[in-house]
Amino acid sequence: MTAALTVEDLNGWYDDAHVVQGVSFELAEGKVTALLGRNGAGKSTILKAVMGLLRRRSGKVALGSRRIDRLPPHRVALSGLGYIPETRGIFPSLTVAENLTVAARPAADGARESWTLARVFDLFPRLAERRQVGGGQLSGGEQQMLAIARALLGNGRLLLIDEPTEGLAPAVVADIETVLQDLKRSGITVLLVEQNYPVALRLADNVLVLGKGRLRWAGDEPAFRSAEDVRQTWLGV
Amino acid sequence: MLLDPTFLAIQLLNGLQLASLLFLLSVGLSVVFGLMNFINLAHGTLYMLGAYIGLSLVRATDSFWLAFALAPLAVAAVGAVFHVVLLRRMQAASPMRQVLATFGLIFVGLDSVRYIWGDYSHALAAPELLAGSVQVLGQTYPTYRLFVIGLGIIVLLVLYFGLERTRLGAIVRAGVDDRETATAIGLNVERAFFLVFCFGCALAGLAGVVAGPVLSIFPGMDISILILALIVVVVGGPGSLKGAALGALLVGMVETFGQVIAPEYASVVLYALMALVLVLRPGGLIPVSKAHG
Repeated sequence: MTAALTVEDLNGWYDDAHVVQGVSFELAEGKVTALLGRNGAGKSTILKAVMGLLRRRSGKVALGSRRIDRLPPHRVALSGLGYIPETRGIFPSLTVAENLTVAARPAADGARESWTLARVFDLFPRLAERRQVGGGQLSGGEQQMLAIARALLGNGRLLLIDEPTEGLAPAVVADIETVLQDLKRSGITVLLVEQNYPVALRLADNVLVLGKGRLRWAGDEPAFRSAEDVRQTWLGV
Repeated sequence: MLLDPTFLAIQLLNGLQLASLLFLLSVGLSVVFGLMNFINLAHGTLYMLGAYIGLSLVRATDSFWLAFALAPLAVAAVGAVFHVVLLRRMQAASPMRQVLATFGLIFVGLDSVRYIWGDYSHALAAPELLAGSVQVLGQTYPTYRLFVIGLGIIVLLVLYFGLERTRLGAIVRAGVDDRETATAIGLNVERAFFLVFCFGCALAGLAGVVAGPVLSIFPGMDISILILALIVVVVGGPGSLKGAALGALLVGMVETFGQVIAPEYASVVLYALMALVLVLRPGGLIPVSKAHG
């Protein structure tokens, strides 16, 4: 079976800084893969490189069997990648409803049940209440929910989620985790960057460990729990 | 004289009429400057081109309205070529190189116009429907000028609703807020901005045709109004639609009243207005909101 996403020898730069150095991995279809590493290890940069958002990068990225590493970012997104940036990227000039509808697209393959505005509002009742409010007036948790909802409405095959619980109050973190657990059960493929390791490991089927721009370890979640040396060396926990 | 209501009313209308033209011209300039970080000094050339293409169309078809409809399209096409050939390549260039390149284009435009249409002044007749005049507080006032005012208001409303209520408008606002995220969720921001750019060029062309019956058409008509339009953009705030409208209104009024009250100081007052805005609100009166600088 082909992997949902294949990344081969991926390199990414910020100006002259070689932040991602020859990283290769595969994401299993329908699984949640956690990408872990210390601050500055290059986790967010990998997501940006996959999305085509870096000015300078090299390597091969394939969604299923389709190469996407030559496409501009909006075409990468349209090919089936949903991206939730660390900054959440909510558009303050757009209302909550507009933030959602601007990104909404029917599912490309038609096999799965499409995410619709109604389904997204079922999942996030809070957003339904706030639909006419400007995107700039949301709390951090609401912004995160909106960012997730917006990515779902893109009806991609795969979600790249960058630090969804960062900077949120514990109760809100629990809410977001519940939503992510729901999504996991729905069978969507996820690449999750998360600094909150307990949350990440409860969600993850597989784990990738990144250190100083290189992939240091890859395996399933139970194996990661017993790989104490990996955790100590590369995560410091 | 200053307190005579008739005089005030007439000058107010003249001010609005100039503001309307300046608004049509400034929208495109402001969009390119504010959204695409490109300083396009040749925007006035598009205005002049609109006037001359309008002139030729009127001569060929004897219909002002045909020129009114087609000249903006022709100018938009010229703008599209300009975007592909120059703007896209120079987007990352330093402001100085952009200024030099587009400043050069002004002269290319001037000489092209001289070559094609000759080095003299032309007048465009107002269409028959609007050729008459109306009574304003006992004074006759050309109907055509009221039409120009109305046109500016209509275009402002169309742009406002286009930006607030259409999908293209939402994509543009998203692209202005956070371009990286907008592209990463599948929005073709570049194409949306390109369409907006072409629309801005069409409006410059429209301003040129519409100005025909009010101001005369001559090589260099672009320079004098370009300076006013640049002041509009700086005063209003680059990239902001409301800013362009407010800036056009202020500049139109200051210029009009300045010219009749104290002609020798008119431009001084205008530049003082700009300097004041730059000191107090460097981003313009209605700066465009940006989430990431």
